[in-house]
Amino acid sequence: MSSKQPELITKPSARKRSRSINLARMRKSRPDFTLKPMAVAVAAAGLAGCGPSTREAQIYQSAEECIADHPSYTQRCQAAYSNALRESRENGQRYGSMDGCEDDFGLGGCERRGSYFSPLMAAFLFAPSYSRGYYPLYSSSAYSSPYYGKWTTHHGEHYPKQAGNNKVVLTQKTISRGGFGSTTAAKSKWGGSSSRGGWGG
Amino acid sequence: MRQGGEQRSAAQAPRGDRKVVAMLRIPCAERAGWEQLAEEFGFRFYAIDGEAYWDESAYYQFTLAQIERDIEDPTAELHQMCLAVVDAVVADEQLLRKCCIPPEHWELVRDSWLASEPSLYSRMDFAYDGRGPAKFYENNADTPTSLYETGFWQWLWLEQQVNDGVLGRDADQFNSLQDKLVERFAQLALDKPGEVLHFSCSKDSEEDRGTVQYLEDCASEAGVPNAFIYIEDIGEGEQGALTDLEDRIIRWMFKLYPWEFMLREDYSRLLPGAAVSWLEPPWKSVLSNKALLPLLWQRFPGHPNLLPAYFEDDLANSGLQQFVKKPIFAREGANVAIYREGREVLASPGPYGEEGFIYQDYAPLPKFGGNYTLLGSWLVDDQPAGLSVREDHSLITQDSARYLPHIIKDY
Repeated sequence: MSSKQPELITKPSARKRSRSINLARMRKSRPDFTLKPMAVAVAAAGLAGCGPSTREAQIYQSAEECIADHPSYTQRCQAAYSNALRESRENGQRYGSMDGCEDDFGLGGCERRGSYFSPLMAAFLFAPSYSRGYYPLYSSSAYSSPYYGKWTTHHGEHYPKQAGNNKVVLTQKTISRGGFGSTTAAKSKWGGSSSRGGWGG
Repeated sequence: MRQGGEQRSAAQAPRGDRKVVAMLRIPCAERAGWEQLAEEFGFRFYAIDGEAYWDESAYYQFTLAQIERDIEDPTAELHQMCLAVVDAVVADEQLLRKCCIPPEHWELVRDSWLASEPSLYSRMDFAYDGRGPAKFYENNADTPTSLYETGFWQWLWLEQQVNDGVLGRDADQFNSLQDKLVERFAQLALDKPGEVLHFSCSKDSEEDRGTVQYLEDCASEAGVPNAFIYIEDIGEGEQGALTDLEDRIIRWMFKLYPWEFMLREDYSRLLPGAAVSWLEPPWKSVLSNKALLPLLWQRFPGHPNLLPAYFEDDLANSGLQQFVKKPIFAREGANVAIYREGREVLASPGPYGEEGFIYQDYAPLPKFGGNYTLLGSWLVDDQPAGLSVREDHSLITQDSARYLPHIIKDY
């Protein structure tokens, strides 16, 4: 290198633009490129080869049980457990009395939280491939309870309790579509069709 | 580039101080074959119905002081002022009503603010000619577009023009948008290990789809697993979740679709129970709302970056002679009207206005080379992150406005 450095008028540290951009990711040059298949490809690439299959989640009763199954997912297991516990405390079902709660979740299945009573989290769903990696699950030891013999989320999704099989598919049957997007249809009638003119601003 | 090639603002001459000059609009050779490059990178909306949108026949040149003192610092400050307004609005039913938030969703908006649900990005629009304080027009805090053009395409333009020797190595750009977006996604993912981020926008807008594709690329760069679904394709699960086309439950979603639309559509009934983490979060519905402008002026009267602004009820006593009438909700400059001496002198058409209007002092856009120039100042979370420049033949910037790149260079 010569003794004279090229003169930098703007110090690199003071640069006000992005340092570098991964151009390979930005290039979309496949001749048959269309946006939708690309989006699917990106999603698949993001999910492939990283542990459990994309359609499955597992139920665990402790972070340790989860780690034993996924030794390389120690942090994710711990995070899923603690997030589920937090979610349970913040958004779990609320009852006005301990009796009411224990009717549903069995003796010893509930705790007092301030002025109300809530079921204790009995297990958690570990779902690293899904849009949320965790769900608190509840169950009941009382035969008469609707929560007996299965795992239930506080949204009401439930999964069977099966010895030796803790795998579940985390989906919800879709009963309708199209409940979002009606405003654009109405406003578009005013503007006519346009390849631009989006709903950003 | 010689001074002779520069076009100065037609606004008044510099006042005394020689350093107080307008930014420059400098004609510049276009890169050979840039249209082909645009195709290669998937930038499909560089021309709209045969009209130029991306325009590199000229660029704007700012000094570092103009950028930092007049754009970057006020952007950070105004953002904090806007957050103070949100804090007040969510606690006050009268203000929520002024913002036209449907009462059945007050709790959703309030809870999202009180839970400090994180935001991704915003764009503030300013009138600024390089002299004096930039004047805040409005806040596109919910669904800002022209993101790809700013964060990536004008960045690439500068890299290439510097490498080709058209621009000097000292040319910089106020544009750390892509760096900051990637960092922000990585940071948001820390709270959501392994979760899929669903991206969404409306069908039939190539521009919106391109903007969302760009954000998907940034999320992928940050290692965040992601998927895409059109807003019209979102499903209602039998237990009240929102579902994608594979019936997967949506728990984390970026939507380039305005909250003011979503809160009035059928599936808004699912929002309280669906437990989705939204980008942008519901509290952004307060910021992307023109009611923000009079609320800011009430709280920070006389702030140098604010224009006096009033609700309809207060217009008569405001003393405003020349003003701009803006719908509470509107996009892309639609339904805006300019009044001078009590008469409407210019108006843009559009489908908005049923929720009412606000009135903002008239501070016309500066004119450069026959064009009216609007600046967009970007934030990622609460960090100023870049600048975009749009030009229109009209004083009211609409979606036909062309996008021009900019540089920072002291002279």
